[in-house]
Amino acid sequence: MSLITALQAGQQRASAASTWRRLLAVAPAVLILILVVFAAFFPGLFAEEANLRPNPGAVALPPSAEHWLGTDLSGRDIYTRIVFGTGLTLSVGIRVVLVAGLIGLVVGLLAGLGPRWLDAAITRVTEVLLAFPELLIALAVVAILGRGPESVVIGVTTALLPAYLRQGRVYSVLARSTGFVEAAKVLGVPRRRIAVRHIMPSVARPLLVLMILGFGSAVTTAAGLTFLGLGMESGVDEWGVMMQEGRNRLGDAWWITSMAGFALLITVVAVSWLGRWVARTVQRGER
Amino acid sequence: MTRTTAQRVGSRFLRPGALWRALGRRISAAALVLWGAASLAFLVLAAVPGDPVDIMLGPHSTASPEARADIRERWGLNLPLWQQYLLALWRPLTGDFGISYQQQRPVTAILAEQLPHTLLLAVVAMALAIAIAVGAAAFTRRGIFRSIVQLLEPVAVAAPTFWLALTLASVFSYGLGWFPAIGGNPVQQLVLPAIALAVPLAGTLGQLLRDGLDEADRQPFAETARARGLGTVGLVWRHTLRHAASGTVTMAGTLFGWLLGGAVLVESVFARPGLGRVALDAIMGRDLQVVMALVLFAGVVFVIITLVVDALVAFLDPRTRRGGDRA
Amino acid sequence: MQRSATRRSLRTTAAAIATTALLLGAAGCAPDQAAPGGELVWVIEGGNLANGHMDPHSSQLDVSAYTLRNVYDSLVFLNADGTFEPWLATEWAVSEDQRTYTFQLRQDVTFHDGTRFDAAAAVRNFEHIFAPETASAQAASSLGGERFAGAEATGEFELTLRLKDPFGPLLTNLSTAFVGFISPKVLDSASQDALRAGGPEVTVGTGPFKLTEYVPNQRLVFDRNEAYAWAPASLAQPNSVRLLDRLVVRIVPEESARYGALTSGQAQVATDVSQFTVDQLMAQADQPQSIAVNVSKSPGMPYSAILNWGRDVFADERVRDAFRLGINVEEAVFGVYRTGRQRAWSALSPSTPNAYDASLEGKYGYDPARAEALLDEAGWTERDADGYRVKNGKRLTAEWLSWLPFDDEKRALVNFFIADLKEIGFELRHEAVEGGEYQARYADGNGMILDFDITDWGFASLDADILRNHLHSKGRQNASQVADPALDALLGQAATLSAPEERATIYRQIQQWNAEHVAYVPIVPSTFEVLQIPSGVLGLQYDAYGWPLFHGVQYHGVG
Repeated sequence: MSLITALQAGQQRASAASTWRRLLAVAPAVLILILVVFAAFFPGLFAEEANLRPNPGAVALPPSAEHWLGTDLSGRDIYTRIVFGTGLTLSVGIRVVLVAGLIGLVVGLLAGLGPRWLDAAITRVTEVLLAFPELLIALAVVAILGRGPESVVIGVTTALLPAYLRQGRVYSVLARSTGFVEAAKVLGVPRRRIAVRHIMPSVARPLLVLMILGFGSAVTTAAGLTFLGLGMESGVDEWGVMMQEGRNRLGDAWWITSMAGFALLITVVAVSWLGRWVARTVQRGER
Repeated sequence: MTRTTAQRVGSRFLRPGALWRALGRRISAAALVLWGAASLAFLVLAAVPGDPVDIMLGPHSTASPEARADIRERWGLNLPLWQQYLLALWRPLTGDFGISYQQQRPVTAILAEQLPHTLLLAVVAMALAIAIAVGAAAFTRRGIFRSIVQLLEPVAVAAPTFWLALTLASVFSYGLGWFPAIGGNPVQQLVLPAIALAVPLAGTLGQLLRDGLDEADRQPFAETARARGLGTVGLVWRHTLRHAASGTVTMAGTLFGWLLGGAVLVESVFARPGLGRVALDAIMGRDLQVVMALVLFAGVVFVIITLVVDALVAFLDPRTRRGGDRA
Repeated sequence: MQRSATRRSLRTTAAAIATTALLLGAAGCAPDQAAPGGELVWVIEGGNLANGHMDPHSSQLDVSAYTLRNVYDSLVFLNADGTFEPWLATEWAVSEDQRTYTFQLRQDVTFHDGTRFDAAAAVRNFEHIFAPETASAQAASSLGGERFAGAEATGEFELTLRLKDPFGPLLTNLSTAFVGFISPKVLDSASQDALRAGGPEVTVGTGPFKLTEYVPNQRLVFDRNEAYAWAPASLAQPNSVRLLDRLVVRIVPEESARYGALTSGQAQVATDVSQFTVDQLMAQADQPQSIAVNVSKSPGMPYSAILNWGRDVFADERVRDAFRLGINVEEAVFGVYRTGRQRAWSALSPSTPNAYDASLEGKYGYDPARAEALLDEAGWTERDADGYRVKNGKRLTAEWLSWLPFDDEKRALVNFFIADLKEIGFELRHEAVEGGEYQARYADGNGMILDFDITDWGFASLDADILRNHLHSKGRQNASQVADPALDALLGQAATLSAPEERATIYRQIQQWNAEHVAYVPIVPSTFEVLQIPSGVLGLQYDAYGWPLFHGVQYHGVG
């Protein structure tokens, strides 16, 4: 083997090793998320639906062999509720970031590619939305639309939207002024093609990162709304609702609130871990 | 966006005439924002279901239709919507912020009473968050401490504020009795709520700061400084912190808005007086005057903070100070 | 030079942080001194008080009455044994036909703003209660509503009340704070809105305390009325006793905070706590230094599920009966309240004086088999995919609407009922909404909307006549939309009579009527608990509702 080949082989092994290390760094988060997603789609695999039935004889029991995470104020098994509540809890967060990301993308492109006045108008609207505290925007929306997952999604999306609008616009403007796009314009490439092939990818990537990182914010804000009474309807199996139900018994039956709280925490941490890993990988790729 | 703007503004510090123009532009933009916010708030409130008169009378009120009509007329609720809208915009300009129909007293009185509490809480929480974030990011650049803190940061960010508040109250207030549940002196009253608000903020700021510091470390000037023998701490304090701070300070502006929202949760849990609860009650109760006043207040605060932040950034970032090359 | 400058600035920063931490820590650990000699803190939930319920003449909320009792006096005082004592009235007489009540008033009473209390002042108050702008939700009907013919000052200190028809509960209701006396100067000068909003300038009465500070949703501060010399005999204290100087009522929305305030010494009296907390305290009752609990079972209407007959689902009596038999109320109440409370069996709670029908206990309990048979009979024989009954393509669903705040205990009860009814194929859906939205779906002021199949409430009342509000076809709170002339006659008769045994007989019939036709399903009697710290608070008494009276309280602050 020549020296060069040996060096190359050594380099390949080194980069393979570092790739391996990087993947390992994010593996726990991915594992947790896989579990969570499975629980969302196939709760029956993890728990029995029958345990969701209220049981007056089993109110507020501590964790035990029979009830792994204890029971709540209506005697329902908390572990089962958390499992069956995964889908609803996550769907709210996912829908929020998807809609916000999409709007951010579209509006960003419009702002970057469209006429100046459109850009200015969009910036003003963003600033107006930024002036309000997020939670209060979401509260007002749910106050109008009534409680329930749909309203919560719309409310939280509206509240978190400014950040996406701003990101979309910023990166769109940045991309627009790169050499590629200038050249394409000069060469007469149609606007739409410029948008799709050159600008959209550079807007979409940071937005994607924002979406992953924003998931936690979305879910936590939704839980905050529920706590204040303007979120999900009471009684449904959803983590925010469960946290709100147990809030008067933290002193003695702390598991009612805290188990759902931990579920939320773990999921959000895993997602944000993943998000930061994606962000760093994307950054590294760009360098 | 802000950095580019700041650079433009920063370089124009050197030319006075242009400074006034820039300021004028900012103020007109701010006025536009305030108008937009007020209009949006009015529309939103007009859309909330439920008759304000019913809210005033409470559940199971047996008030006659005449009595209701009387209340409605007294509050101008029977005027056409566009008239109510114009009045809602016009009155604040004359200093008349109206009367809260929930509390039956001038809105300015309510604001004056409740604002200091929330402001104090927000400022203390912000200061605490910055202190924690700076400490965590700046003093744990390497080694095992860095890993631990890096692990804790996302947890801090993810923790829902109300859960933190509940748990803190439950453990330290009702449980151990270290802090009073109600009453006590202002310092005692502030500690737990401020911590509950500060933790998620500290996590976010810490992450930002750490990223900024890492980024700055890779810059050529950092190597030069190290070559000149500057220790890690000196480097952090004199150079990289400034670079990283400008990014963080920009975020801090919008994070203040988050604080006001978080104040709603914390004030509920700790039974603290403050604008948070006022806002919540006003939104739920369709108390138009109070909500409009809060919206205008939030708008003004936001505009002020943006201006201050831009100025700070221009000051902090050495690149903009010189008014010259972009990085 | 750079290095040492950096180190110095770092040291300063570190010192500042350390000092701050120390200060915070020290401040956090210092116990709060209880106010010496006469300031008591009472924590309540107080929701809705700020929403225009500071006028007892217009409010229907219990919280208005028990907080403002400190400021407003009544004509007579009702003792625990059911007898009446002079208060603002020294003596009274009822005419033969029971349509005229004449009261001799005390001559030494003044309002907090200096106005004299006399017959004219009293008449002004009655005018206010019945004035349209006042929109009285309870006071007016408690005085007989349409039966009330008027109040007249037949002498400087002689008040005459006239009725169109006899009204038995009149004297009882005259003892409540809802019919307390507001200063006529305030009634004449302040707007109704201002009265309902409350405050030191408008909340002016003759009571042992004056309202000196009011911050809505935060606190009410009452200072002792030094001139007070007209307490009812049961509450009066000799002059030598040093009474409470100041009562601070703190509004604290979170239940754990209220309890925490009590245990940490921030408050000395607390109300609105959960059954769970009460149970814990009762269990520790024999231990020294434990918090004392006074539990009074509220008379009147127990907490019940009100069935709306006006909508399809419950128009059929069999379905109503099936609903009642299909929920295991006993187990649900035990699950939520443990041994603290027994389920309610009748339209009136056991502590309602001279009215309760004990024979209904144990009847119409949980019987799912019978419930299913009834539903089959009513035509709900088919089932859909989820197991619920269907008829003509429509599912058997009942919508239950409540208003916020809706506490954890009630929520648990509803959850149990939902599960029970599911077993017999009956879908129960529950929603709790804001007061304003609830009001909108309850009634629009022109006619009844009643956008629900079931709603829920309990109503504390010293007299069984409260049923007239709920079951009379013209009742002001007849959410069931009952319209039975025979029942109307019974209710009217009971209101007219005054002999307790005669009234009791009729009320028993009325309770039987409800048991047969199911206007509402009684669930559990309400209770009112007052917690107080073990030592230092003397002389706390309770009225017929079980609400605390601070007239004769002394507080020896514990350091």
